[in-house]
Amino acid sequence: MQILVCFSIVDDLSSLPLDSYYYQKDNDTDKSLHTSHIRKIISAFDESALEFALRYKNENDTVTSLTIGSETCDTFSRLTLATGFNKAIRINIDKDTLKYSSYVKAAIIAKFIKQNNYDLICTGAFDAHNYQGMTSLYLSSILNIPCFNNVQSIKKTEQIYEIICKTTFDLKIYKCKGPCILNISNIENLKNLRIPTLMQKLEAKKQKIDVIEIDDALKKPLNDIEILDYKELCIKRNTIFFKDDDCNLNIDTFLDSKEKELL
Amino acid sequence: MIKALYIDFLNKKDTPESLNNFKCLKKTLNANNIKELDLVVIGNDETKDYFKTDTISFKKSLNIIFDYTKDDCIYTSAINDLLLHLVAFIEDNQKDGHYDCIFISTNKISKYLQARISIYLKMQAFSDVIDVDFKDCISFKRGIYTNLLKLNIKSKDPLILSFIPQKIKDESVSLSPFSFDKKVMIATPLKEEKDVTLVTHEIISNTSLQNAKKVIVLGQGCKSKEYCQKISQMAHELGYEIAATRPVVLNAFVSMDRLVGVSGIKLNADTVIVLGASGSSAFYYGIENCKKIIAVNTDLNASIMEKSDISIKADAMEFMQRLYNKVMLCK
Repeated sequence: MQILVCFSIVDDLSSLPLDSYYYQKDNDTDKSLHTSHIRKIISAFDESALEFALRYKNENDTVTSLTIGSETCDTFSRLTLATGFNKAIRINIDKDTLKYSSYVKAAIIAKFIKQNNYDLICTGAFDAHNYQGMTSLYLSSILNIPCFNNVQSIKKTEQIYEIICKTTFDLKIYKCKGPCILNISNIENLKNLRIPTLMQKLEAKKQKIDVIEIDDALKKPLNDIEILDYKELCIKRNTIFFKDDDCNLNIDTFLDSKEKELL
Repeated sequence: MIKALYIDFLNKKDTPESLNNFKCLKKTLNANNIKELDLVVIGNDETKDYFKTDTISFKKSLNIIFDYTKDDCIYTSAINDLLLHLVAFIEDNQKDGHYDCIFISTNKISKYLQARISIYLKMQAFSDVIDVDFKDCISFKRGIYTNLLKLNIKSKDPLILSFIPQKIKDESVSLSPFSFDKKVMIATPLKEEKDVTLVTHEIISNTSLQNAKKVIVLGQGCKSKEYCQKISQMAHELGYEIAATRPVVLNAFVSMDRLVGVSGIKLNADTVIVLGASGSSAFYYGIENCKKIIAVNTDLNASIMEKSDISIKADAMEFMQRLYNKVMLCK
């Protein structure tokens, strides 16, 4: 079985200090985000998808990781090799050219999939940067193959995949001949990619990351869009403060106030 | 004049959501002085009533009877039939000019439908839109970076947009009898030839964290596993579900399935008490839909304090202990 896992590299939003924004506050006309100072990570659900593939692969299966981006992504591609992926592929493209177009991303991945036969394609449900969550849906539409959401586990029996999906109220088991797309979000006891040993890391350094160049025609979005600006989204809640220096007094004042009704 | 189409999903269970989506649409249409648009309603049964308001009228309308409530419907050939009817309606009504915008009501299959229509019509689709402006060309805003930034995008070409769910108070919308120009029915059995079969279907109990009304979220200020366990015990006795931020989960103080935030669960609680969490944007995404946020933190400068309804400068454990004692005393 050939398994492909698509992952993206995003800014680590949890590492951001309070006063560090992604654009220049003093310049209203600035259309670009300044994110070079922000630590990069594998998008959370994509990381779950990578671990999912490793967990459910059989001995003879081949697992390949695929990312779209520049050379800076290679550290992460190498990490996938160290954790047990057989192949790591990077489609060489400046991510800014994607311009928030899930379609372009999907079209590029779809072309790659069409040239290489994969039985299963695993992706994260969405990324924290854009969270449209439409890439896998576009991919499913372009390739005309089913896309299963909230996948919990998978089992292969006689050329048929048994896929367990979970929604808020249901647990469903589907049988599918494949190929298909597995959209990974929350899975109990599965979040982070396993940590490789030093030996595995050293071995991965010797392995090659396949870099693929693509035609400019594929980079064209369905529409020409222009980014006008980025503005800070104000979160407005009319906060009531209990901020005396005496912390215990704050608690007691709150617990005696009418606001305690909320509890 | 702006030419627009609205695609809505309607069944008895989804009516409140559909109403809210309609109010979002109405707000946008009113702001852009659009008084007329075409309508497609996808419903499980024949749609006899639709939302009525004085400011909007529907020019052309189609009712597609299709059971969209089954998750498995998107894997079947039935969705292709649905698309064929939808695209035929769109193409028919575009003979005298293209739609400037197609709005799709936010629903569990709307993103999938958006992607499919987008490819058929070669129109770019965007979800989670906050507002739309039609001056000169289409521009719209949507949140990015876990809703910390608002991205403003302009397009000269038509777009397919769906709104981010927002609660809008508007009493001037009501359900009234509506007569559609055309009705079509699509059968939705799972078809073997589509290579997907639903084998079993199990209803899971509706007590998940996602649906809990009262939740306490433990942040890094809850310093140890023992600390977290003690708070969890008191919380359960007080009727609260326990959740945690990423550092707490990664320290194994609380189990992984309790993680709240962009890589975890998005809460919809009436009241959430956040104990000792700084409030990073990735975490805040998980609580932003809660009706009331109470933050307890010793650091008044923690970002969560500004983004909560009630902010209490206090130690997490001391707060829980005093709350517990007070409630137990009252019993």
